[in-house]
Amino acid sequence: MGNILAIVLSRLGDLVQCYPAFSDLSRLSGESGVTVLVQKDLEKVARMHPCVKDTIPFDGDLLMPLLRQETNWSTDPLNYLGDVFKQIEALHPELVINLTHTGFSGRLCGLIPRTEVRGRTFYQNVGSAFCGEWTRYFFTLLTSRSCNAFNLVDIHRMIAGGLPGWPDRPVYDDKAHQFALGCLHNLHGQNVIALGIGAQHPLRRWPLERWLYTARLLRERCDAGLIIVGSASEKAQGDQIQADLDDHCLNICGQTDPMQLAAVLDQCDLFIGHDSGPLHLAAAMNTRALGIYLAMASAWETGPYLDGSVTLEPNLSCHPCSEKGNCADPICQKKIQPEVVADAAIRLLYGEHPGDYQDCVVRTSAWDEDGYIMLSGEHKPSDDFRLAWRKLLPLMLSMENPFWDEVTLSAHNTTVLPVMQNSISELKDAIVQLMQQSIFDYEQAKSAGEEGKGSLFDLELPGMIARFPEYRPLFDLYRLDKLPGEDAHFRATLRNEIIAQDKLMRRISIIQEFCGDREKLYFPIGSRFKLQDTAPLAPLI
Amino acid sequence: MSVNHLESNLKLLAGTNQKLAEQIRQAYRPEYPEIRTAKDGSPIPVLNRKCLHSTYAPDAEAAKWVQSLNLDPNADALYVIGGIGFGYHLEALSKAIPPDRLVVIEKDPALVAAALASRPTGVFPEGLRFVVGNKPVTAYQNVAEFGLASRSRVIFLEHTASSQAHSDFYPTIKGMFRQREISERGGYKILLVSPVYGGSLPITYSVQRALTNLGHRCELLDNSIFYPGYQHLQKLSSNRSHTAQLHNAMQAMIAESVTARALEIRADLVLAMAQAPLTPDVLLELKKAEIPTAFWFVEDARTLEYWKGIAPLYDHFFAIQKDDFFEDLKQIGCKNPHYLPTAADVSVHQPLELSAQELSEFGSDLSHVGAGYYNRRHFFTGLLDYNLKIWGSDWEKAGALNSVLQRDGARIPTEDISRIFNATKINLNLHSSQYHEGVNPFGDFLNPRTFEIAGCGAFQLVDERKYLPENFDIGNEIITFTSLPDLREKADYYLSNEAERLLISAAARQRVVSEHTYEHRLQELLGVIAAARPEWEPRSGGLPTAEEIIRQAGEDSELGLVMKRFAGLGPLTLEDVARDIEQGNGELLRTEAMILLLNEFRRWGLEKGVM
Repeated sequence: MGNILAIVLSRLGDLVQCYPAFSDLSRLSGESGVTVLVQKDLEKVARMHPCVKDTIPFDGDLLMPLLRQETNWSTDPLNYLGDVFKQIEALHPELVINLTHTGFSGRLCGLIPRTEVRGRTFYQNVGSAFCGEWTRYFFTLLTSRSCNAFNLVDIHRMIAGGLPGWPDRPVYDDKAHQFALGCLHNLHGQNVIALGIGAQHPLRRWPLERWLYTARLLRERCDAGLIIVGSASEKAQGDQIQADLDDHCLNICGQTDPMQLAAVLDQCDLFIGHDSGPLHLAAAMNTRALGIYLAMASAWETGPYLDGSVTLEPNLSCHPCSEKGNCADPICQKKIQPEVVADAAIRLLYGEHPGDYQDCVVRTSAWDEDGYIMLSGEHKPSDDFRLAWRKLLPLMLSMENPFWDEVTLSAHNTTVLPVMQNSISELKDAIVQLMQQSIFDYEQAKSAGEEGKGSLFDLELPGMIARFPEYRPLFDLYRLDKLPGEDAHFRATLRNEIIAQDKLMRRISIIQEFCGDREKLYFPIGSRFKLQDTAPLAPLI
Repeated sequence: MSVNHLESNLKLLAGTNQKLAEQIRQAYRPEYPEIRTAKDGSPIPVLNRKCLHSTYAPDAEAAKWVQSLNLDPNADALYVIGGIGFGYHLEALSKAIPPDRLVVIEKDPALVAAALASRPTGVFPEGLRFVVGNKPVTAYQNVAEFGLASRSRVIFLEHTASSQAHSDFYPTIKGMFRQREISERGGYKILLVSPVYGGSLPITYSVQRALTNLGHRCELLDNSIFYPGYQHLQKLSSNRSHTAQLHNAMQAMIAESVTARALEIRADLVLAMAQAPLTPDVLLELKKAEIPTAFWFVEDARTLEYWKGIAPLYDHFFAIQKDDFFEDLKQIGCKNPHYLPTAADVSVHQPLELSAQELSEFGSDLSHVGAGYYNRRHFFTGLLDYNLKIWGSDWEKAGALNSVLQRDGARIPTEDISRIFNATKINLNLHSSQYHEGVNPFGDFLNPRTFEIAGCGAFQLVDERKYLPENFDIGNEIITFTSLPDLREKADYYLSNEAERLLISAAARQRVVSEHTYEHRLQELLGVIAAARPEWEPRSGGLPTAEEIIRQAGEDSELGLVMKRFAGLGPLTLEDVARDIEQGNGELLRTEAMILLLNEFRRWGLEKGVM
């Protein structure tokens, strides 16, 4: 395999969540290694990963002010982009993995000549395309969140399509190591716990007074020495905790670069914090994390990627809330009590399982039999569908992935099957009826030379989604199937629709089969259920 | 003061502008203004107890002023000086800049006369041009007539003492030149917000055209698309409180769309027309985002009082009424209201060649276009013995007037209104009133119809209004009436004197074209805003044109080649160019691809709110 370029133009946490994908890709590329296009200020974070051979820095902070003054868009910004692109061309990547998912990164992928792209891309000036079934799945998450049971890290791994294996641990230099030792030197306490009190969105932050109380409990109950980590904007709050705990606390907010932060987290026995960059970095360093996941943060999506790490979520029907994050009454911030966090933390320190807590859902990250992260612990009723889809989706997406050629039903799935058994036939009948009308429309339009027109099927889709909300991923995949695929052959809208409808029906058939055999299912790879864009127009009904 | 100077100076002036010389002579008042003697013996005018020049050494002060301007005598520019004073600064300036490149604007003709009378010939050198007038927009227009376009730059030089004496005049003119300069660099990005329905809706469209004609980038947020929804809500419930709640919710939603759009396009100004559904919350949000807001209240403040809740929240408030209304506005915290009457859209309201069929359909001796207000129902009943046609809506239960009501009281489209004005011998323009049975004796503002009929070159009889004389020359450009008998007498006269009618209507049209178009109004509006905001620059900076980009990149470069197809289109944004490329077919050039890439990054920045 030649050079691989991974595009990760995101923040610290997102970049760290791509580490395992880098490991998989490195196994695929062999000697060539992985180069990462990364935000300039996070170059060090990318380079900490042992499989990253090189980085290409992208300075968005330089480009943005230039664009803000639209006056000179034709000179400096265009020249700067041209220079970055030249570096990419010089790499001659054989494979480009886009893990950023923005229009910008997609457009960038579309410009790189003679290369295979996985992730979002653009075909010339025609439009956005989603390469690979897992990329398509990623884009369904905007609407299908409640059905998702895959960690974002694993989704990135599947989009990248490398050779799966254990993730590599990031490495830091001796200077960073010395810095970390210096931090610990004057810290009193038997157990070193890092507290990450910051989060990008204010609604995701646990109130300061709860942090203060938790810190006191930890000092009293387990002789904890606390290190508060984060950005300069969290320093003032960190100072308040430090003032309260004196020599049992050290506030280093805003004083570390990413490598120093990694070294400090590596020295800690436990990390407690929100869904944030430091939490994911702690997990990457094999430091167990106790996550407090509020508002939009969901353990299913971004729980700590480390076996034995734990997340605490408020037991509320509204959690996780929508990505808009404009809740007027964030009651989730009041649900998790300092006593609960302290108790869970102490149990983790001593290698015990956290207890059952009132108003709190406790979930533990654990590797499944395939080496992907799964959540164990107490499940909400709505989680049954997530678990069913966790089994179903791989069958519906990447049939060629050897990881998924054999699926064993778990105990969880058997609880959900009756629900699906009751509704799947109803769904199938409704879809068949609509499809027949849709094919009729297509034939009519074709003979009238109006193939580009939309059909009845799409008009009826919102009603279908409302009627069968638990099958939302199916509809979202259908929506994405209609978009241009990897082959860049663009078809008239109606033809695309018919092909997407065909896929939809095949997926329904898979669910039916799944419901019909509770013991074991085996799908021959690349034969009966292989999804092909060149599938015949007549659906498998 | 020596009158001999006046005569010799006027003689010089008459050589180039006889009419102005005569106007100045007429304005001369020997006792005006108060004149003091500076320590060096020079005469100094005093206005409102303030000296317009140094009381020590006005010549030295003027020389220092010119030096401070650091002017380039070789620059191809026209220098416009705001304020004549007694000309010390002009004398000093003409030593640095050839007088034929100088234009001095003065609001007060009597002060010009006093200056010419007090200063010897030579102070005002041959070639120096004068613009005298009391309206900023007229003064600005007159400068334009001096070949403003032929010079590459216009430099406005402020005579500070004059600006202070007439703070509503010179700063506005300065602002108007500023908006002109900005328009040449791509203009301001203005988000124009329309009402959902109502009389100010067609005005909004005219404002949009005017802003575009002036070289600004105007985006219309046309809320009339919500009108069917508004009507639907209206019918949902007979409970008024419920209906009001529904309408409020709808208003809040539309208002929020204004913020969304203003932030999206990074507007330099949000201009809301009367009845535009903005809410206090949204106005505060826009203030927080540092986007200036302006409101043009083109309605009668005594009839519609919603201005009380919103006027102080706008940065700039423009209205068609002043005097007592301005006092009321100031009391509620609206600091600097500005008088701005409506106008005519000469692309719509213009003389038309009508077919015989159109003349028959739209023509009559007398006609009125407008809604069936109380006073009109009473008043027009007294004209039923004429060949009268009434056009417009809200004439239900009009009694005897039903016989002359056209199209069963349907709303008349704008283009048909112009046809009616053109086809009618005498257009009746009676301003509406809910309380009077005819002419409102306290009426002040002018309705848009006054300007629109005049813009069509049509003849109108209009009821007397307080602000009419400052906008039209009554008797020569427009004829007024005070009562029904007065109207009948004048209607009879002008129906039988067609030549006179045509003369007056032609003069009215001329006045509209030179002073009362929406372009004039928007020039003034932007001038006022620019005057109040010395730092007001387009957020997008000065946009490059294709020609500039080609020059910079080189004609044979790929960027140069790409930009060739944009030549002649004026200033271009990245979005303009990217959109065009996106719509094209075939293989992308590398530069085209880079432009698309850059634009994706910009879009991402906008989406994340970091632009």
